[in-house]
Amino acid sequence: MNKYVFSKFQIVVGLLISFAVLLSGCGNRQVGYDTGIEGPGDNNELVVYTSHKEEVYEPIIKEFEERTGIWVTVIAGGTNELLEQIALEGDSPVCDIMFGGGVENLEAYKDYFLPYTCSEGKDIAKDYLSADGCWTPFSSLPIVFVYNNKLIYESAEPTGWKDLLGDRWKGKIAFADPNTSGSSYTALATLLQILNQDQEKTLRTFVDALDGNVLSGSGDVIETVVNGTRLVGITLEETAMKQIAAGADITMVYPREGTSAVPDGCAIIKNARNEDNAKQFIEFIISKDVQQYIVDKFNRRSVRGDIKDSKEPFKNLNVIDFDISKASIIQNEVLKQWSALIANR
Amino acid sequence: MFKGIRTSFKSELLICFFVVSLLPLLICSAFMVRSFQIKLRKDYKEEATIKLKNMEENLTTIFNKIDTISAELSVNENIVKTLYVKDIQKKKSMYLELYNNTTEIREYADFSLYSIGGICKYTTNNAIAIGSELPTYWGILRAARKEPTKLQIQRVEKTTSTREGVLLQASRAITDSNGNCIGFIVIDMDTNDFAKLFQGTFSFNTNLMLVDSYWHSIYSTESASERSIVPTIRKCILDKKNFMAVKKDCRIYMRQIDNTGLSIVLEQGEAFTSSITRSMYGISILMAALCFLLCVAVSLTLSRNLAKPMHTLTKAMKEVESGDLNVQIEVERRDEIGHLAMHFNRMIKELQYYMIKQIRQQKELNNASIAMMQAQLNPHFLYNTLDTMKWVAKANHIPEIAVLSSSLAKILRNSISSEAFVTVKEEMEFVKCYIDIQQIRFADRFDYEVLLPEELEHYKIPKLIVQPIVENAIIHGLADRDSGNIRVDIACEDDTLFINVLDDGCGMAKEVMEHLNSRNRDNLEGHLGFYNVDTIIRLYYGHEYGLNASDIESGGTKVTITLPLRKEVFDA
Repeated sequence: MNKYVFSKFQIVVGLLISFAVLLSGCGNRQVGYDTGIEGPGDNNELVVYTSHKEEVYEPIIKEFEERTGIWVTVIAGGTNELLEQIALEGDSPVCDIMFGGGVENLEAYKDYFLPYTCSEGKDIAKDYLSADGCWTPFSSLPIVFVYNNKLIYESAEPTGWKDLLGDRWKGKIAFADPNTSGSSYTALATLLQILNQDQEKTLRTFVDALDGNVLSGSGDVIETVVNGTRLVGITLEETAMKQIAAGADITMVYPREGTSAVPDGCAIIKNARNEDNAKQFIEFIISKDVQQYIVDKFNRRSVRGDIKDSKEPFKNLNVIDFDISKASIIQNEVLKQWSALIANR
Repeated sequence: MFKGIRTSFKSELLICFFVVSLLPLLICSAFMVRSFQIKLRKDYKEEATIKLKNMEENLTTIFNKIDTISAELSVNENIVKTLYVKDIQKKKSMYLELYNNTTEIREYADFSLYSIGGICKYTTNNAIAIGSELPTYWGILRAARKEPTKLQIQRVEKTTSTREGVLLQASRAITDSNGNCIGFIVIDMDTNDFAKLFQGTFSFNTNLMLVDSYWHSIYSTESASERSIVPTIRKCILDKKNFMAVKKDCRIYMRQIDNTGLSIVLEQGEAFTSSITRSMYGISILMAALCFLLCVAVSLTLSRNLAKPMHTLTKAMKEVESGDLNVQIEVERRDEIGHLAMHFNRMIKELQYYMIKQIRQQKELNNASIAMMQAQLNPHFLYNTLDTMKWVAKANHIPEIAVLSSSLAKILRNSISSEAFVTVKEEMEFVKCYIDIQQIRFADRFDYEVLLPEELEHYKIPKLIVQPIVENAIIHGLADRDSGNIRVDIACEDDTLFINVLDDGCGMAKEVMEHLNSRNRDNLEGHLGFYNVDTIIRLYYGHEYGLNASDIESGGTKVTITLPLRKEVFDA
């Protein structure tokens, strides 16, 4: 009896097992790796964090790949977001290089960067170079004014920072919130450094001139000027020139008192897995070809002295000696005062 | 595990039904799904391979043609000579040359000629403006200048393409007779060109993608709404992971196109998506569930069908156990269970009949014992009378009467005693009494002798088994003789007691002896004593014991009583 039960039990178990095998038999998937696809091979990769727009980084990355054979992985995001990510990753970084972001931002995170002096450093204007080589400048971005050609005669164009603070432009200035826009803060810091007066008073005067109107993003500046909502805008030369090239009926003005030309930069991450490739990338973006390309295609200013440029010569811009570290230090305070002033209106 | 199951007929049936219905169903459906899957997958794979191969051939042909044509153009004397000429006529002939040379491939690609400075001079595409510029320090023209003998192929990123929709550019340097680069041939392939090329190669579950050597997508037939899988595959390649599983329910095949650095990727939806497989298994399980319900229903009905009569039977049996023999089961069925019930009914009837018979017998027996008890009154009176006779005879000096009456009294007492077993000695004393009477009766015509070893005296035997034999010997053996000898010879061998009664009389007729030994009652008239003794012994001890009669050679008969040697009374 017992024996009979056991053999029946065995049969049932056997059937169940074969059934299970049948069902699980779906697991033997073939692998389609027989196509001879070659990966990048060892040490032939580079991970780039970039805060540039796609239209800027795409051609540069593509050309870098074509020229070096290095496979690049791009992770795009906002400057602060990426820098915070780098700080978070610390000693085991995911990325090898940070491409983009104002150098004042990079300066703030320089503990995470590997100092590197590029071989063509001598060709870069000295003003742009970082003191310790923690970052390498990429392009120079002067702050400019734009105005709507249809609404303002050339003879009545805004001339400079002081002019903007006058009653003439009250409430007619397009300016992005410096809390969200890095370039907007640079413009504010430039204003403060040029006027060189009591900080809060200057800010108050400026907020009065804006009549409290602040745009949410730097992208809106040109648009509100073009559609006539505002008469004058404060923006980057690059942005203004790009829109003019695209057919916007606006004119670009360099402020009479001078302007800042803070570069954006590029920095190698400490302990990067592909340090040599990151160095190659720095060499590449500072090379004549890339610098020429950004001048030709992106209306940017090269940081190199030996690049032909059809733009207003740099010496005519009356570029001030912008104190990056100071701008960095007072940033929180200024933004706080700014927010308070806006809120009180 | 089966202990619980085996106690109930219902669950046993249920299990059996499961095994015979559910298992084959499940196995069958699993086999079906699996074999479907395998077959379809194989077909799909074949289809994918063919498609991929066709596409690869197409692309290889096109790129080969582009390569050949551009190579011819790059050294074409007319072109080299007239690239920078401004004469309208010459320009026309230049275009003629360009168009003639590119006829077979112009459907898929546009050819343009650029100056050494990167200015477009001639083009077969209306959308490209003559005079438009390509940087010579950058991208495709730089590559072409660096390697003038080779056709350069590069992806065009959409953000900087010279005109809308250009996806791929190829370029080759135009060289003069000295091998110096004097301009460039640029070949553009745009979205429409690729759409034509890929037409008919993709279907609802198949997508084709063209990627460059760094695994950036160039062209894809994926619908714009879905996320392209190319970046995911690229990540897998970078992470050295298997990219077969980048998309659920998809298989990925790829092939490189020779000499171009390009690869073609085919993404094919799984023939059996996991949702289909799931639903098929779902149906199987549903069927199994239905089957289960059916099993339960059938086994319940069947077991009820079987268990109900069993229950009735059990109940009837219990009633019988408690003594009610009037139970009868109603038989409605003609199957085995019906038969069982019928047989049960018959058995109960038999039992009833038997019981009635038993009771009747018992009653008769009771009557007999009552009669016997009544009969015992007389022997006591007789015995007392005989005792009186003995003393009267002694007083009147008639010793024969005294012997006769005392022997008769002894015999009488012995007969009415309730003891069924006596010792051998007692039995022999009883026989002696009988002999005493007979000797007086037959006037000492025979001698009597007993041979009883002392050690056998106390063995127990049924009473009154030797006397009838001795009586037989006197009445039949010595009937017509003036003198004779009767000897009772008692012996034992192993566990068997032999009591031999020998006489030297006339012997027994052969026929009678046969009858005696065959124990046939019908032919034993006058020998009932013999028969009764034999029957008593057999009833007490079994068939190996009993009587046996034989002739003695010197004349006379020997009757042997065979008994087991027992000291204790055998309790019948």
